Amino acid sequence: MKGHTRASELLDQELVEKVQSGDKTAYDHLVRKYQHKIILLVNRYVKDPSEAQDIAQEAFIKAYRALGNFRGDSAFYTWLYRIAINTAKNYLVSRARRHTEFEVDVYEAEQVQNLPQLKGLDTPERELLNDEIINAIQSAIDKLPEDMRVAIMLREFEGMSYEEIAQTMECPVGTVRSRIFRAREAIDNKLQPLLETR
Amino acid sequence: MHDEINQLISQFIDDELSREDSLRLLRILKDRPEVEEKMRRFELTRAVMTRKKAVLADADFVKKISQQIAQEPSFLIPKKSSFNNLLISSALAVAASVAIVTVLVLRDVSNGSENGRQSMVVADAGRQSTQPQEVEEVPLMQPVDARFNEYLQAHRGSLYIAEPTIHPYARLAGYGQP
Repeated sequence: MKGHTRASELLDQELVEKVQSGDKTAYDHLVRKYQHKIILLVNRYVKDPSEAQDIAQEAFIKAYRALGNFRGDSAFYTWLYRIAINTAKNYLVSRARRHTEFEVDVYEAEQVQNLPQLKGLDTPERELLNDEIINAIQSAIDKLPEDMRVAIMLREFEGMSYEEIAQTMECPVGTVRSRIFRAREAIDNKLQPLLETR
Repeated sequence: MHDEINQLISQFIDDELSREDSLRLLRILKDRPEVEEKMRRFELTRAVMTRKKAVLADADFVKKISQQIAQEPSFLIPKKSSFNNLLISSALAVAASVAIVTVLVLRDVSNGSENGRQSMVVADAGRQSTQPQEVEEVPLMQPVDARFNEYLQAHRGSLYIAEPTIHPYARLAGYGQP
């Protein structure tokens, strides 16, 4: 796992250097790689999914503008993560103060984000779709063969690496890779028709 | 082919893919929307399993940002040399310095031994001696010094001396004197 994480960081560094040399398409790769993680992160602060999209977008633009000063002292994702959190907090503070203009204090944002009235609410339609998707996925997981279900649950719930799962399940890493992939394919077969009808 | 790509996606979202394969997949994702859609669904499954939330980036999220970035100025920061490049540069610099010093030393030794041989022959002829170890050796650097001095006297009226008591190549300037 560590080796592959390092590989991921090296790829990020390579892409960052390309962007810093004027290659804007390399930034698309970075956005594509981290878009879902950043959306989920922002969604912890801002519950309305469409607001979360806008804030995540703003965070990526801010990151691009600041990329000239990025020296690789931390991993790119760690750096991007901080920008996204600060963007979300700033958004919450500015919304709380009803669009007054001022410098945002991050500690102040920490306090403000916990106020329930500031968290957006999902629309009923979205809630319904959310529930349907969750049920479909849960049902697909329940029907998975034991070895596939254990592999994907160790990965998603426990956050284990393939190597760790292989040790736990006493099987080769290649088998783990295959079991997780086949589990995802089986779940996707249930999910895809549901999403296509929407 | 589809299975291979889908398996790459599965490993990619788990951060278990090599750098080369990750880059290959990112290029495929850019050109093939159906592959990107597949990745979105895999990510959605993850989001639901871990967060109980069906929240993902919109399908045109990357495109929207790309359009905004297109209006931003490009960076033109020269590539900083990595630590490895610095090591290689340093090693090359040291190697080049050693090579230059070696060439200079070899050239001087070669000149010196030739001059030494000539001096010994001259001394032998003068003294008619059979003991070469008693021969007074001419300093090895003399021909080089002589050429320096000829040049400097011709051009600047300066004189360089390589005597043992004087710092090598100390310059004696004779102002107003020929």
